[in-house]
Amino acid sequence: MTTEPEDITALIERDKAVARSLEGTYLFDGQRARRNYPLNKMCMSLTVPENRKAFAADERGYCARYGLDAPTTELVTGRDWIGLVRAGGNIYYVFKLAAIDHVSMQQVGAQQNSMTLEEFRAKLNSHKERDHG
Amino acid sequence: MAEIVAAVTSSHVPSIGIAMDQGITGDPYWKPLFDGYLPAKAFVKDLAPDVTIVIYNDHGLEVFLDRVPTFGVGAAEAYPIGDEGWGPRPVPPFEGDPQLSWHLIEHLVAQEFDVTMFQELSVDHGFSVPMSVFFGGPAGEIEEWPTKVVPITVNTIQFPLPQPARCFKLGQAIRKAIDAYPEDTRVLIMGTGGMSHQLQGERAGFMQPPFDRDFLKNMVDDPIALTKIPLGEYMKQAGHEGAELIMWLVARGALNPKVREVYQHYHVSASLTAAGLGCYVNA
Repeated sequence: MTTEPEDITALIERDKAVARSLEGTYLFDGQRARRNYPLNKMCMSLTVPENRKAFAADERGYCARYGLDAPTTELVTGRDWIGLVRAGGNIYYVFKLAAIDHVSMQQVGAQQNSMTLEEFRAKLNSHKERDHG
Repeated sequence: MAEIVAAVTSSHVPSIGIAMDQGITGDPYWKPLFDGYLPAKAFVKDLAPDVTIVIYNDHGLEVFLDRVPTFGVGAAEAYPIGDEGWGPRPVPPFEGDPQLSWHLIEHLVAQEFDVTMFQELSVDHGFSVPMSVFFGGPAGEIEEWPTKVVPITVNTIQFPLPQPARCFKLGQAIRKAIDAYPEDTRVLIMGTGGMSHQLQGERAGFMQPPFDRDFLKNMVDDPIALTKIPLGEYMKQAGHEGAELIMWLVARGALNPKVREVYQHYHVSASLTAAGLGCYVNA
């Protein structure tokens, strides 16, 4: 059975439409990957220990070297996790920035939800109640 | 002749690795999860596989957005533990099996799976955490890995991801390749990632236990149904990052249509992730 081209377009659009309908979700597709490539590249560079030192010594200068614009640099220095995700950051790369400060994924999740860590942990625990085996 | 002795699947949450590395698996938060792993460790120990094929995704250790292979196969002599930003996990490096790797690559490409080939590859938590879960001691401790490994990478970071049905077919192609391998090699297939979780956006912290339970049931009863769930639905039901479950389908595809579940465990939650585990053998 061959798939007609219009079916393939429909398949792609169907998945994207569902993803875009999800509140608080930022589909990380090619469009988003292009949008703030320098931000993700800067974050990715932090897997190298010497780069982490250079970043810590001069955060703004380090961001400038990777070509981050001023608003994005502010998001980085402010550790504005939800802002970074909205600006095109991929959570896995952005999390390398969090790792520098020993900030946990739960703390990142809490901030993205505008919650305290305790509130966010309560939200995580609440899912237990919906597990009926 | 080579044989696939079982497929196992597990979430690969970084904090599960941290719990093992910091020796806090007995803490009240972690104990139920790690107690749940014990039967799976015993199962894998009895199997004594010579090689474990680990299906995982790189989370920004080796793969950046400059080049994103949809599928890749490691063909290295050894796979070092990578530094993901907080230092490498304190576990030994993995020993590869280049002969099996190249056999797999030849056979996968011949079956029209045009994989990327890695002769150098360090591995991240997506790989090492499930390996510790299955092969580590009760608290994850490990002196030396008792199995060689072949890493198979799947892109789950940047959309478009491979279709669920394609992942299942990759598993079928791996099965054919192993069936054609002339060495007496016991091969374990390990699918990693999932279950429901979302890390990004205001929806971070989302989990969906009923979906996960159905998924676990259909790993045995109706994996074809799982391959027909559109990726958009995976994102909706399992979270933007929970779409990693497509890697369980690779592992499932490598087994017979009918399987027997030896063991499963499900725990809400390991940090932001609903942690699932399964052990399956051909029926």
